[in-house]
Amino acid sequence: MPTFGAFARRILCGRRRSRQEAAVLVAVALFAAQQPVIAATRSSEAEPWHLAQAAPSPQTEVTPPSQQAAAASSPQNDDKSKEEKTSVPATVVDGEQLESVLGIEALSSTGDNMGHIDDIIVDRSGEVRAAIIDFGGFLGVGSRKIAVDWRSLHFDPKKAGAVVVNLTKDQLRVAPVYKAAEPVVMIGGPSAKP
Amino acid sequence: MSDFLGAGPPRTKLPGEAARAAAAPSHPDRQRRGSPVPSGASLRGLDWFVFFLADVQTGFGAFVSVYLTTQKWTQTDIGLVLSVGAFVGLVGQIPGGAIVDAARSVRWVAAAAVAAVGISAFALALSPIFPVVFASRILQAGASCVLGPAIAAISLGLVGQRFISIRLGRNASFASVGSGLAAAGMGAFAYYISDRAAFILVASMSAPALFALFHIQAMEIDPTRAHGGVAKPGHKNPINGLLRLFTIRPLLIFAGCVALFQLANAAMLPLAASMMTLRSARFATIMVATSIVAPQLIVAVLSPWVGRKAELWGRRPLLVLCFAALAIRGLLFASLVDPYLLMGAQLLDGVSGAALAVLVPLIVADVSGNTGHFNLAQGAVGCAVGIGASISTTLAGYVSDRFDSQTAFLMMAGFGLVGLAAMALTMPETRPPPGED
Repeated sequence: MPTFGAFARRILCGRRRSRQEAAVLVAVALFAAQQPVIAATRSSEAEPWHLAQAAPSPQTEVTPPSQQAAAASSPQNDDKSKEEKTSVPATVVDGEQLESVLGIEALSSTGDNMGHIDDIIVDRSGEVRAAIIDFGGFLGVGSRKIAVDWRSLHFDPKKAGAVVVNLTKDQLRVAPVYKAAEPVVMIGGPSAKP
Repeated sequence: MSDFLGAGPPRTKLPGEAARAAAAPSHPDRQRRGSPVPSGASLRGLDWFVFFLADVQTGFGAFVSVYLTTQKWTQTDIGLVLSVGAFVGLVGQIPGGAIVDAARSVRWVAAAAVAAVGISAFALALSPIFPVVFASRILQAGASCVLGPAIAAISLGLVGQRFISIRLGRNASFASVGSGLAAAGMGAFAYYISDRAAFILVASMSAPALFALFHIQAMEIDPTRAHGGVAKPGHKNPINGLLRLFTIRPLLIFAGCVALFQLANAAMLPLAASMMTLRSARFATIMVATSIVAPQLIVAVLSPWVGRKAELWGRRPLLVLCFAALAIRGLLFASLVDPYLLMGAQLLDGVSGAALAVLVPLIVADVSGNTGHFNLAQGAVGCAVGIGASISTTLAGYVSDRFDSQTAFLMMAGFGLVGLAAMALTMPETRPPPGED
């Protein structure tokens, strides 16, 4: 069944990226470049994210050492002359290496589907703190919105459209429901163990 | 499909009708009025029309928000389109009823509304971008305002006041089987294939719904019966019609009672389901699914019985049953902790649901007879239902946030008890005296 499911999903859903999504992708790209912690975790887990084209910009200067290496080793960009005409700095990353997080499936560490990512919350400094996961329920009835610490989320490069949460269903279901403008309980974190 | 609809020996009698026909050998009602006797094809067409329409409508429940989330919609946008849909569904009730009352052919109005619902379902499935979804929600909500009264009007037009209770029991049965199966099917499609596939599944049910609708012979739908009599010359205008309806005391009392029912009822399942998610680790999803589907099956079994007993016992005992089951369910939800017991208590929803599905159109037909505004009256009661339901979810959400879910359930049980008392003290028996029509 899973293979059939995956096949049919590919046919029925496809991958249509609108301009808005592209904007989100760019935003995620910029964010990832400024997030040494996550970038480091990712690059230690899997192959480093290749920066296919890197225009000279302040972005590349603040990247962590692992990414600097990747940027330095990346081939010289072919359209350098074109890019120099524009004054706005830009970073271009291969679309396959990035992903929009809104609406993707949240999987438990054992691979169970726990729900979808509804929202991302940031603190006043703009740092991403938690993902809101719409947990459980059936056809939208009985689901609970749970804030999960961003550091508990792991993005497996082999699993597009899904994120692995370093927590179990039992830990998620008993968490307090997330409500905007109220004290937020973010479960998980760097020390959490499933 | 054609096996169910067209083929087979023509049946002219409903099961309950046969017994009645034996008691009263001729149909004095029909002979007097000269109304055509509904054919088997028409009656079965109505069965399956109600069944497939319920399939399509089930898709527009809470699942829309899950689906839009997976399509990368923000919660703000989802909230906006859902609120707009709910608003149209509320304010459109009375105009929807007026349209059905004014329609020369209820069947064509119903066909246009089904087409609109089908188109909006496909639009939602195939192109989930903001303007399309926004229009789709408005179209579907508006069409639903017409479809509710239209089904009752077609039923009344086909079988007349005399057999309407039996017919409404049968309608409720087919509708609940349809929506139970649709929920189960959508769940399976969403799990194994994709959320979009689940939408395409229910959207495609609008085709057989239309097909079944056209098996109902238009000439067998008596327009006078379908509109609840002929409006007096000065009362044709919907505004005057509404003013006329507001003088019918039992109708006002009944609208108040169903508003109280929904105030207690609408938020109960979502809150109970959320408690199941909180309290059960492995089987929460299955339990929530059972809580949605199982009461539908109970409605399917019980509503024909409700239709028969409404004629034998009158409407009041069944209304008492409906409100009592609601209040007991609220009290059970407030006192039980075990998620399996919560699921068991939710079965009582099937009892209330069966009673209400039959009694709402039936009592409206009782009290609005001979006004020519049967459907306008249904719209008015539908509006009361909508108001009760929308306050319920907001209020229960607030109370369970501020205090806890027990308090919210107790509050809803309290509304149920108030509704029971109000109904028992003020609502008259509306069953027409035997022999009169």
